[in-house]
Amino acid sequence: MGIGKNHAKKISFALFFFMILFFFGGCLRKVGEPLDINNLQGKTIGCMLAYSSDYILTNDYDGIEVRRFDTYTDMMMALTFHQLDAVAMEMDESYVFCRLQPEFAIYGLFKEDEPFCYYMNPDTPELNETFNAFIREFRETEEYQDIRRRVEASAFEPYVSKAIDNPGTEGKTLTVSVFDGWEPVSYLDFETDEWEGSDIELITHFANAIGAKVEFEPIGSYTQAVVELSRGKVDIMVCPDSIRYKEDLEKANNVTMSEWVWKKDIVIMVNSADYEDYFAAKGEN
Amino acid sequence: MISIRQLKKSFGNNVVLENVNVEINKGDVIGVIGPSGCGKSTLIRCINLLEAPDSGEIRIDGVNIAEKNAPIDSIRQKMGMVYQNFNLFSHKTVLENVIMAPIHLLRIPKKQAIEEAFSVLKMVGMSHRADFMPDQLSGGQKQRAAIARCLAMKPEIILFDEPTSALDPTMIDEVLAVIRKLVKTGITSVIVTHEMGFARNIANRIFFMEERGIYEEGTPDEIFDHPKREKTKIFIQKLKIFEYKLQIRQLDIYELAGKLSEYGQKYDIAKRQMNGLNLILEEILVFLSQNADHKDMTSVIVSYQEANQQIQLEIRYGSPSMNVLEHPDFDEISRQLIHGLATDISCLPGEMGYTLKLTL
Amino acid sequence: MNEFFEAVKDSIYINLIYEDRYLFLIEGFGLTVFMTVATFLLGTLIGAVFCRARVSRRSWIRKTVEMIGTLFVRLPTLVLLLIFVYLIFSNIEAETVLLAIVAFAMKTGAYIADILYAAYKAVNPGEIEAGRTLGMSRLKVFRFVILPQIINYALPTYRNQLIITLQETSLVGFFAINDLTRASQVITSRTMDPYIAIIITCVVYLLIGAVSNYLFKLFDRKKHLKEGRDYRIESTL
Repeated sequence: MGIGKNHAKKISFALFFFMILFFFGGCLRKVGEPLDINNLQGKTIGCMLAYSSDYILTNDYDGIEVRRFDTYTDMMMALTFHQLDAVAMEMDESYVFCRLQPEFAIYGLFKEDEPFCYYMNPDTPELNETFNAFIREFRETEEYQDIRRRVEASAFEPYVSKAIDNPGTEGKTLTVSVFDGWEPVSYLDFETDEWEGSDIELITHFANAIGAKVEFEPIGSYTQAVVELSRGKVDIMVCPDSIRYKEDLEKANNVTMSEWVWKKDIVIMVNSADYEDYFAAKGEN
Repeated sequence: MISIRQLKKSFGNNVVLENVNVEINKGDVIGVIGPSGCGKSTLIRCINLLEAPDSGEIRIDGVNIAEKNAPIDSIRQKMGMVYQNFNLFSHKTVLENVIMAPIHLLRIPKKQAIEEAFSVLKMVGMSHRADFMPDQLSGGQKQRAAIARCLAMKPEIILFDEPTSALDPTMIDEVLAVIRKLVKTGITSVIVTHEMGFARNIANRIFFMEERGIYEEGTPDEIFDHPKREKTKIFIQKLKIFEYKLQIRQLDIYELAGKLSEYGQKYDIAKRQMNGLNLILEEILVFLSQNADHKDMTSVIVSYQEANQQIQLEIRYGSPSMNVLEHPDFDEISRQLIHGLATDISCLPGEMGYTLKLTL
Repeated sequence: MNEFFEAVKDSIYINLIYEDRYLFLIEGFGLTVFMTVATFLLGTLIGAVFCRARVSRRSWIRKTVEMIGTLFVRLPTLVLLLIFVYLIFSNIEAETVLLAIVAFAMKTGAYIADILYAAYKAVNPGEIEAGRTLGMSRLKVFRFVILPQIINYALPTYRNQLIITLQETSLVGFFAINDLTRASQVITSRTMDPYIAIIITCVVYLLIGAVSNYLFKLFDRKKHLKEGRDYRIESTL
């Protein structure tokens, strides 16, 4: 049995077969078809499973093929490899994302001013009403606008945080659960070991308004955090999410939501490389 | 009708057929006999190109089927083949087996095909089993159904490849009867078989296959009674004479009886005679096995003369060194029995010691 | 007791009716059935071709097909899917669902080729000879002698293969394609209530299996009826 000859034949056929496949695959390149923000019918848009953008994509836009991913990596890989036309994300998240990964860019926004709220425990109605009253006022202030401006700026440079004094005059404590590593919303500065972020600042303002000392509890898992909130281990969960979560949360977990804290836009992101001309033209404007 | 010239066929390095030349005429009934080996089956498998010959030509009605582009399918429709293992289509009933080829090849309309099928099935005696599946039939019934399937195509020649070799002795007769009936209708047949009596009665020519070809050919009388060539003679001889060698101490009387019964079947020896033979053998051989030396070999030779329906029995043994029937320890009643059954009893010194001969 | 029913009613409302979430399940169901059927049909085609190649007289055809078949059988389905989506067709704007169907079909095809080959080997070669000696061409022998028997022998395993294919389609959820399993995950992720969605998904998968089995049974019976127990013409004995 001529082993050498037979083997060589087998291997060469295999290589031949796969070469054809790869060649075929590598030969053709997709060109970025211009997306029309106002008419995304038939397009495939990705989002993270059960995030706010998921709710919005699913309910507001008929005719879009929604792909819901479990991890960011899967989603961005799908976008890179043209399994998706675009990805939907909340605006402040996408600012940081595109800043850190310039191969992705924001194409445009398709949902403006979506209300985002904090999580609250229905068993503490007084606290909830106090917060709601606070936020209604705070939204009109200059301070609020300043935070927003700095969030917008995080698209170009790391978020510029402001340290806020928190004297805790009334001797109360406000326990708040927050996510780490969520620029610009809430994160631990690794040098100073202090909590920073837009929502850190906002909740500190609230704590000052009621004269409490704010205590931050880092969140390990989202579900755990919701459970802890419903059990009263924390007072507020500072995880800004779309108000559309409210009914689900109330039915399943016995937690509720505050009044809207931010109005965020939902943007769609694409591969910058596919839309060079578009972005070049935009840049000139 | 069929003309074979210089046919050569080998399997790998083994040459099975070499320089075979023969003519088969319309109406011939040819019995193909010979020792076990691939020659007989190979020859008839070459005739309908189930085996492709290495070289030579096979002309069927003038058309050489061994050529590359011969219209083999239409030629095969004129030839039928009956196999040793029946090869009925196992997923179809008997009736469906029979009508399949006529409907799809001869384009006979279904109703007519069924009518014709029933008449053929009636001829082989299977019309009452038309709706049975092959696995519900006995071997003999399967073979008869297979023959019917052949006949439905109205072939000009039928090839039989050891049609009864896979059958129980009890079923052989029913199939042979059908083949006999068939042959009487005048259809050309080539039958490879081990049933010598049958071949002798039914064939008009016998091919004896040996030495990679048709060793000798002739009428049944010529081949069976007056074989001309050496190997034919030996073969015919072996057919006629039954020989059994054994180490007497390891006597297996039942094996001997079984082999003898096969021999007896071939010549249709009367049951009574066979029983007598078995009895005598048992008496003598059992005695010998008790009184012989360890390493002794004994030979039993039986030959049957059809003319006067007599069995000649010869027993050659080594010890005891005397006429066994006159041995003091030989049972008196047995001796009387033997004397009653047989005649011409003699016991003389011979090759292996002593030779006992008697006639039944 | 009342509380229990209330809870169930609530659960059904939030899982299915609120925001028309039952539509997820229906779309997922449609996609799963579509993928399974498409994969299975394509896979049968591929399997038949591979099997035909395996009995070829030319050894290079045989060996190539055997090798490709072994490759597809040994690679896990998910890995195969990844290769197709991210390696081979990465630069083509190809619908992920179609790519998935092709990948699944190749795997299913490799299995079906084995099934068909085993069924082919089970046919008595003597019957094939008998068909040829009756004068049937190779094609006719295949049509009337070999194929019916292959179908008979292969059907039970082939039927099971359909169920296996059905289960494999749930892997597309990895690529965020909204099949039935993914749909139940989507609902669960919103409501944090696994019961209703998952139970419905289970039931639907079992139903699909039951329906396919029933269809196969029908096909079987139709074949048997067709193979004529229906002419009992009076024999002229």
